[in-house]
Amino acid sequence: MASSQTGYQLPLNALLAYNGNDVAAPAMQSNNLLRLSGSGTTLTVAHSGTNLSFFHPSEGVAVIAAPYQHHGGGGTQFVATHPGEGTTTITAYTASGITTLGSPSTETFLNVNTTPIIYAEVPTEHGGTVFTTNTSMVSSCDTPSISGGSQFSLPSEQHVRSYAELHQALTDLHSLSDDADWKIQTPVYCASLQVAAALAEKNIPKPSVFTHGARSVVFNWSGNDVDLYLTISKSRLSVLVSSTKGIEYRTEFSPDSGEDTNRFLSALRSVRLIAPPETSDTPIGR
Amino acid sequence: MSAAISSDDNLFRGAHHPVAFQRNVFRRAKFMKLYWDANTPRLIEASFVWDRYAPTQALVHAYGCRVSSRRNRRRPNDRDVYCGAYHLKVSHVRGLEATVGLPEVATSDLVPQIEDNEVAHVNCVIRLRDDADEDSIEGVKTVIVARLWNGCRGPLTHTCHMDTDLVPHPSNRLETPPLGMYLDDRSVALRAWCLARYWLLMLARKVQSRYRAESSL
Repeated sequence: MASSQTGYQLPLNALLAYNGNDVAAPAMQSNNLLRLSGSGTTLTVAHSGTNLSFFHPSEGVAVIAAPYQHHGGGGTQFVATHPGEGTTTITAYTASGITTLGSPSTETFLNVNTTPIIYAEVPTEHGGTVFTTNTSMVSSCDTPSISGGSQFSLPSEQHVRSYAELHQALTDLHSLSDDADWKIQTPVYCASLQVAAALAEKNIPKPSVFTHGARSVVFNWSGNDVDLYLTISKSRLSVLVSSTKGIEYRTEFSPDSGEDTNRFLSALRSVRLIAPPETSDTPIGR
Repeated sequence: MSAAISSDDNLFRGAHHPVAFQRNVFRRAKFMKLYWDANTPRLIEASFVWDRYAPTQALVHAYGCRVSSRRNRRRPNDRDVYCGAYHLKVSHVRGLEATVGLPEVATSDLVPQIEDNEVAHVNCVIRLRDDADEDSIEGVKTVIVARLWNGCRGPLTHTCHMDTDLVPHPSNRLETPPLGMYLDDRSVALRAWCLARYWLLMLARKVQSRYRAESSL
């Protein structure tokens, strides 16, 4: 990934723009919201050099923000799945915020002007729809059949599901209406989504999440004898490895840290202290 | 007053549902909630129960149940459930200011502060250095929570009488800290002394308050 961008240097500014052709929804919203719609059970977006994360806004069901290797798509790619049938709306967060592309029809999905390349496809049970864009305006879409998903490899279903849970937990923290003490600020929310997307991309097990209040989100992994904490505020990523003996490691990354942040997150994949993802939250009898 | 609290003294921190939970999963940061004022971000506070005035587990739990009861009277539609308490030593709190890798903490101490007529309540007051980078304070909070959590033992689970209708009780979801379960390793003689001191202190307090009441008439 290139350097000298905002945030934690994980995504680039996507600068997604919506052109409006063949899409039912209105033009891009002022808050830069990317919204893809379609039928099927899996939606995939590949975005060169940019992290995208998704959630399913209806029924509070999370959609997955997990990257996978796509055939020839290039760049960072994500797969978003959802359990519902019929038309589904996906919202994608980019480095520059949230971008809406609208609700496409079943045949022609998008007509977007993007920088850099967007490659996305929505496979259905018996086939799929592929739409591609590049740095210039693209007004056409292909609708090839995708059989059995042999053209690409998906991340494990558990990994995808676990990051959907994380996304939902972050969304819950951002949407708390009656608890101002714990409702996280929007810049913190967006930053936490970016970090979550980067962790998912690097195939790192889902962390648990908590907050100190509105100004930060903490991702936590617990090992046998040590804990790893990533404290995400709007302008810092603080790293702590703590054990009963003391502080084992502590550092911080700022928006200027560039590739160091990326290298650090990449290194997490091989760190022994990261335990398997915790089990899902389930309600108790209250 | 602070000098009255010995570094060997014991502290307890109550765990309440839903305050210490997030989506019904126990969260250590919510359990070890730190308080601060936006105008004074370098002053961080937290509440504990001092064993000088709660020398038995029964008294610690009674304190927790009273707190829960008061919260439920204030917010009857948002039921608070006391789930138990975690133990840590005063030295763990005071040790924050000498923790290697945590230079931002200038002082960390405990101040007895009667709250809601609870004499066992003590306030943990952590002051960060003036030159501590404000953008880093969120990360410092994580370090503080982590260090305090690493000093905890427990949980000492408990079901208040008013919560016996809850099946399962959320105390089942409390997490065991790295140091493991709490074991009251005080000798029988020391426990007896602590209990006698407690009753004497309570008696003295009662006499003192009665004297004040009579003096004001």
